[in-house]
Amino acid sequence: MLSVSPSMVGPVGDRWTAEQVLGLAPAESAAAAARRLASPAPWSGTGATAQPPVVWGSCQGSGATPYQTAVDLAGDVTGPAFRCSCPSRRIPCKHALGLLLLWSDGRVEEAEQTRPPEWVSAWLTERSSRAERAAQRAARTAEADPAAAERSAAGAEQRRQQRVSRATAGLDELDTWLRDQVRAGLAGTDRTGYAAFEAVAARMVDAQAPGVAGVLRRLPAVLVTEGWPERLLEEYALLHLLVVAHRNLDRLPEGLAATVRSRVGYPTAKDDVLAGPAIRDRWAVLGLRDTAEDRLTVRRIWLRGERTGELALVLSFAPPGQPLDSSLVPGTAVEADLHFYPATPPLRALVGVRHSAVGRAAQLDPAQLGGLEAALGIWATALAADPWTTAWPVLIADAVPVPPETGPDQRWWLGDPSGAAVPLLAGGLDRWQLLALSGGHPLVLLGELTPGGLRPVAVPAAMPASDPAEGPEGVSP
Amino acid sequence: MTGWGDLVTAAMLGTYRRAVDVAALPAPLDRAAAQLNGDAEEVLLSAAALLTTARRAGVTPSPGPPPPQPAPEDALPVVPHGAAARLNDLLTKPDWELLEQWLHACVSRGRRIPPAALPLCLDVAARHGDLAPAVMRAGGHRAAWLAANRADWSSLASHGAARAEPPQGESTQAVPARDDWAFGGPDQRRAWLDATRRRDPATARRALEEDWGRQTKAERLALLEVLAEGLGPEDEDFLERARRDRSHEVSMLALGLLSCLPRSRMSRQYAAMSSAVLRRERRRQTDRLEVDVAALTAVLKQSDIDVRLHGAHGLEHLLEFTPLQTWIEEWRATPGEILELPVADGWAATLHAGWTKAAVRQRDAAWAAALLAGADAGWLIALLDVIPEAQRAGLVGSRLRGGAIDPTVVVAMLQSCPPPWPRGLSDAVVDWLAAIERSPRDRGALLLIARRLPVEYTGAMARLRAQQDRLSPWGWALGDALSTMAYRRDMLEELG
Repeated sequence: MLSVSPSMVGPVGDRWTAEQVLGLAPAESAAAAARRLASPAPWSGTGATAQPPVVWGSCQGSGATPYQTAVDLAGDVTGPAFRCSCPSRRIPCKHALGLLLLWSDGRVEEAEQTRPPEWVSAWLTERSSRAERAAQRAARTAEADPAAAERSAAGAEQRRQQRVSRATAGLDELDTWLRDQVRAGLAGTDRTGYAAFEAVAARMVDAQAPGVAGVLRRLPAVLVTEGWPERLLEEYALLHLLVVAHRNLDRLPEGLAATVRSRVGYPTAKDDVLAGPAIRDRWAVLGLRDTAEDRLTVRRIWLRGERTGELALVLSFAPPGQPLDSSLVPGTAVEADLHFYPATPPLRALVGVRHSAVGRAAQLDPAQLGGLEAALGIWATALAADPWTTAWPVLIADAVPVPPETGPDQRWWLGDPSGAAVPLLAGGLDRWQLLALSGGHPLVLLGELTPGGLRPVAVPAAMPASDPAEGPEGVSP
Repeated sequence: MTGWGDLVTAAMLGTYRRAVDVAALPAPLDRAAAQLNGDAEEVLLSAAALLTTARRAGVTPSPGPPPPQPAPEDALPVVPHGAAARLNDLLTKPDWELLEQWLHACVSRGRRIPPAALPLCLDVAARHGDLAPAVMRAGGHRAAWLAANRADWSSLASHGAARAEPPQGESTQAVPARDDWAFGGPDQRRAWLDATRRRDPATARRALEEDWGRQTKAERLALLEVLAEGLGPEDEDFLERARRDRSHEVSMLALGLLSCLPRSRMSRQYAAMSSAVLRRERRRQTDRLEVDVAALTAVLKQSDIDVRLHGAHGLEHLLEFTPLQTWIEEWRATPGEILELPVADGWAATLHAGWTKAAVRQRDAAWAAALLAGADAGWLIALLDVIPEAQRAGLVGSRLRGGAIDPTVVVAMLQSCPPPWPRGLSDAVVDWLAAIERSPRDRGALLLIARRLPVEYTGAMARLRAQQDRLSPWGWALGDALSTMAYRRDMLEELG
């Protein structure tokens, strides 16, 4: 089900830009190595077909036999698929990237009549049959043995109940701890140190409430900030609210209950999300940010439906050095089904079936987007539905970054042409870069509203792939 | 919201010390809070959750600081994507030399740096001042605008008035502010003196004269150096005063400046002393140079030269501060002819050393060019520096063709020729590479060549490599050089 065989996919739309290709590189060094291979000299027997969308060729390396490299551009849910006979363990390897760069440069023959060579079609067939087998297997286990399915469903229900009661017990303990804190007073909490929170957090991990544990582990960072008593009280109050909400889980509306579950840290299976309803749209990739968290690299990708205007967040995780989901490249768009994780309001999503190849994202029209006021309205609505929200994406049509005055108050602001402003936070898109892109003019900005202000994420017009003819100008008139 | 402050206070003190009164919350939260029940802790935490969410959701934009003045429009297009990616590669590697080449190519192709890359570029320009003019020229108006918005970049804004547009106003150079001289730090004072000297040499000298002697030695040296620009006979009296400075280095600098004024009293005195010691004599139909040792000793004893010198050092000192014009006039010969004369009694090295120092002090290009052939690595750069850039490449090229040279000298010579290298030099370099005995010591020169040889010579480099065993150390080095050149070629192609 998840895998899309090449024949289902339409013809390759636009040829990719070099940036789209380099966006697939697992590391900067790989991109540099690929650039060196992006000249016709080492290549022979290159070719490409639109249907199925594949590019192939042989690359003369240091060895005697050339490496056979092929890329299936349609690939599957995680992006294009790669095959190379080189010994590199990188996926994609420099040969695959170099080949794609060559192709993006128009230096690979692409013709209707060309047939992929034997080794390429064999690989494609193998891939599609493997995908089919997996789908069949899944279908078989569901259909063939209804009794087993029932058993496993009953087992799942039992496990779910177990988890709920474990979490309930843990959260009750947490509540007692929270009450103790405010009864005795928060004064002096900043001197208690890291260990006190860690002990409670560990208890929450045992209670299978990792979301709550995460909040508790971030508290020592709050304590070293200016005005920590306020912020600590906020955090305690919201944790208390979560405990109360969890206690009443069965009486909550389904959407809110899902939000509470996800905040506590109940897992949601990818398959369940993908089995849920989908929103089909042409999803444009607005921004991408990688951060290191808990020995994992987290990639956040912000999508926007070109017809619905809906924003979505796709997360992927990988151990450091391992490639992350490379299927969504900023500046591109793909017609696809998007499945949102159950929550109100929905934000996190998974990409399901893709109905087209990757193309270029349409330019955003500032006239159809709201300003800062509208963004704050969206933020308020999101908070009303999910008070635990700490960041909500917004698109602002006419954002003007204001650099810190060289006075004592060295703060950045994000203003709009009317002169209204909110604090502009560090940690996303570099603020000097944002200022350079704006040149003091209003621009379309993707940002995240947070309790402390707005964190800039990306300037969609400055995406490398957004306009191939000219460089990233990034200034909307 | 007053109610929030009360809640925080209650939480800080603890509910067993301080009662919580949620009735005091502002409307409409008071109605919601009135429904809260339970013990004091429950009420406090619930009310705080209510207020936290209300405060977060209710944030309204405040009147912000005034937005910055918008940047002027840039007429030039930004570089294509590939070039932008390359720029990023160069900045993060980092490779300043290739970055500079990239910037120059960007300017010459009528393109500019994409705005997103400007912060990184300005950081580099602020830390490496020699790159600043190239960065600011390639950055267009946007770069100057951005630099003006940040304190540690603001000094960059004055660099590189945008090109391809007529300069605004008559003179782009601002009139230096006298306050910088009166109250500024050493760098500002020097900058003021330098700017003033270029506009009005007399005013600059007088300012320095009035203030002389109060600075540290390093400052006196730095300020005195400025006088080399626009030096004239009217500076002599002050230089005489500076010559009697308590610091030997300052004194020698003043003496050197005086030797650039052939009619100065010191210059005439040195010329007279030197002429008494060094003579051109005709023996058996050939001319040669002879040193009168007795005269040298006598001259050094009698003179009022403050330094205690004798023998070869004494002669070298005399020659260093004797105007070079003296010899041309006295012997009616060019520097080249003079240097070809045989020298008696092994004094040749001393003469060469003295004249080399004189050529550098007096910035005499004709002498420097003639002295180049026999110069050692230490003085080569100083001599090349005296020669105008346009002539330098030709001289270096012919020196390369002139036979075996020490590898370090080759590196030093090539270093003094800024890119782009003209054909003559480039051809000479390729021939030199083809001819030399491959030694690991030549790798330094090869590294430099790979970075400066015009990319049109990539083919020639490939042919050199083809003649070599790929796996030999030299073949390997040539392979590296070839990939550097290919990198540069791609870099230039991407700029369109």
